[in-house]
Amino acid sequence: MHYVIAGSGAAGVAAAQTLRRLDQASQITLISEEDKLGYYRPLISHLIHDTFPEERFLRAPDLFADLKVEVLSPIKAEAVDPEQKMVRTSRDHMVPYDKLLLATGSMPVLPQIKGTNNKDFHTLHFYRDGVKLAKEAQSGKKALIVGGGRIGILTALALREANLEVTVVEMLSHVLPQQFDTTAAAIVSPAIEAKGIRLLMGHQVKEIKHKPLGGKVAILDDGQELPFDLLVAAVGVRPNLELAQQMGVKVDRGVVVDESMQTSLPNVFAAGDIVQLVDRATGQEFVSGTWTNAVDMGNCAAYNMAGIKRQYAGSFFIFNAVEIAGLPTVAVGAIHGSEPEYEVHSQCRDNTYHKFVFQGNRLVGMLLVGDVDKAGIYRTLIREGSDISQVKDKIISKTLTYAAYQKQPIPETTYYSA
Amino acid sequence: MKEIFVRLERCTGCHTCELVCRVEHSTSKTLLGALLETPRPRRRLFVEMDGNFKIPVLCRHCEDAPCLDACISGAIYRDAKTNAVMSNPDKCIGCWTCIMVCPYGVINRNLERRVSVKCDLCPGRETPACVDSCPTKAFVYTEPEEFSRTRRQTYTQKVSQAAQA
Repeated sequence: MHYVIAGSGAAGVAAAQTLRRLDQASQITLISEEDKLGYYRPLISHLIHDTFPEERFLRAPDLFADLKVEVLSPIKAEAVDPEQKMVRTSRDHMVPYDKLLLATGSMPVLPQIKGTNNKDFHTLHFYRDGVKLAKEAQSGKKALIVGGGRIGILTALALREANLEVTVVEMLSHVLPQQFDTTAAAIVSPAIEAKGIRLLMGHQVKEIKHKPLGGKVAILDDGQELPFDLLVAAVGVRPNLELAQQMGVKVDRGVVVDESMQTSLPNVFAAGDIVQLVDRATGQEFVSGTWTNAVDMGNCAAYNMAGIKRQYAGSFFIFNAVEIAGLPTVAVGAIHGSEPEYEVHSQCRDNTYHKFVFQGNRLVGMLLVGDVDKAGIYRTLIREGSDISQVKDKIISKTLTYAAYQKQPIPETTYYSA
Repeated sequence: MKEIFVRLERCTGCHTCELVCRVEHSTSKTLLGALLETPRPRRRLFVEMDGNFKIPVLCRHCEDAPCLDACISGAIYRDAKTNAVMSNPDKCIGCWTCIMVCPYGVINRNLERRVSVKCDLCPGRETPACVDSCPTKAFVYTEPEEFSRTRRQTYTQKVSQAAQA
């Protein structure tokens, strides 16, 4: 058996690890465009301000050698012939496969701003981006970040930590608009500002002008001018679907897969940021961009590629845990509670906030700020679509514990294993 | 691999196990010292109550551990020797993704260091501290096969005693 994996991000590497664990004998080849492989992508903002040694970013120093995975990099998987079961690379290797995993990931989207071209933007998506930004992030410079989502804010905090003057411009009305509501944002924003970051919410950069004597200035929608040295784009990512489209697998918003992560073509699987999923809470189709989802998909695909049936357990578009400026936060599922049939319960005291969204007898969303303890219990209820009518009051007060599940009359011989 | 089993009918909800868990994971390893330490030692198991129902909830060291898969910084790993799911505080960045995914709610936060803490089965001890300390011996630390064999034997004895009576 020859397994071929296109992509070396969270999904691709998780799949390689799981395949090797399940199948010691077969050949595994991983093709990646990147020059740095097997790093923890969510950590790369730490390249800017932390003194982490390089090993801390890597899963293991000799990961691929230890896994006996043959690596082709930096090489792109350019085309696949599903009839011949053959991958052609950018260096004209012809790599035959028995099972193929598409894990080509995503790319940052660059905003269209008058007076800019793509080269003007820094992004923070690949390891090399972090290295490049770290090199240019000298103390005292002015950084302008377009996009106040998770990546934008984490980049802002890292640059501020490196002593830059940082401004974040976000089109929508508050920080992390995807995973926060206005209440959560109202708690977190002052903590970000207390670090010395300027937040300009509900604004857009209209134009970038180069000053005659050097230096650049951004002009906002209200005419306000912001001089800056470094321009960072953090407005989201889009899936790399070119290979999937070229080879003819079914693609909608992302690659369409079944419960085993198999695409519309036999022996071709997909995992990670290119896959179209159905949100367990809202039922809506989405393309995920989170590490945790990508790892789960990569593992699930690996099992099925190795011939062991596994069903993907499903996930959420909003599925994020992050600590921002000392405040822990968790957001899962339908946290905006925007549908008319949703019932929303929330409680806010000082810097602690919890919000639970119900739909009938199901819990469909959770947003926590300040206290995230036992969040996984609620996440499980959301994912399983469990009937929560017996424990609803405990959810609303955020006092649900595992005892409520196990509660039963105890005969003399009841045990559970730990 | 040995596991911690709980004899639920023996738990009185006294929280001794939580206390000794804190002490065991303190620097001084004494009760008084643990009380005065910073960072404050955190418990890694939770005696939960629901009405009269009491249950010590512990990490199951899952075979497919959601926390291990979800960890974005490589802090959570499986110990090659004991098979326990461990968290390395030097690699943890305190994003709390593990807490978001643990279905049992047994991952705690070290509030000063901003890192996750979880049951490590007390490395360096023959038997985990919670097991040793339980006043009613509610915990049994043993291999699953051994545990079920003992249970079978006890049950058979009871049945035969009942039959003889």
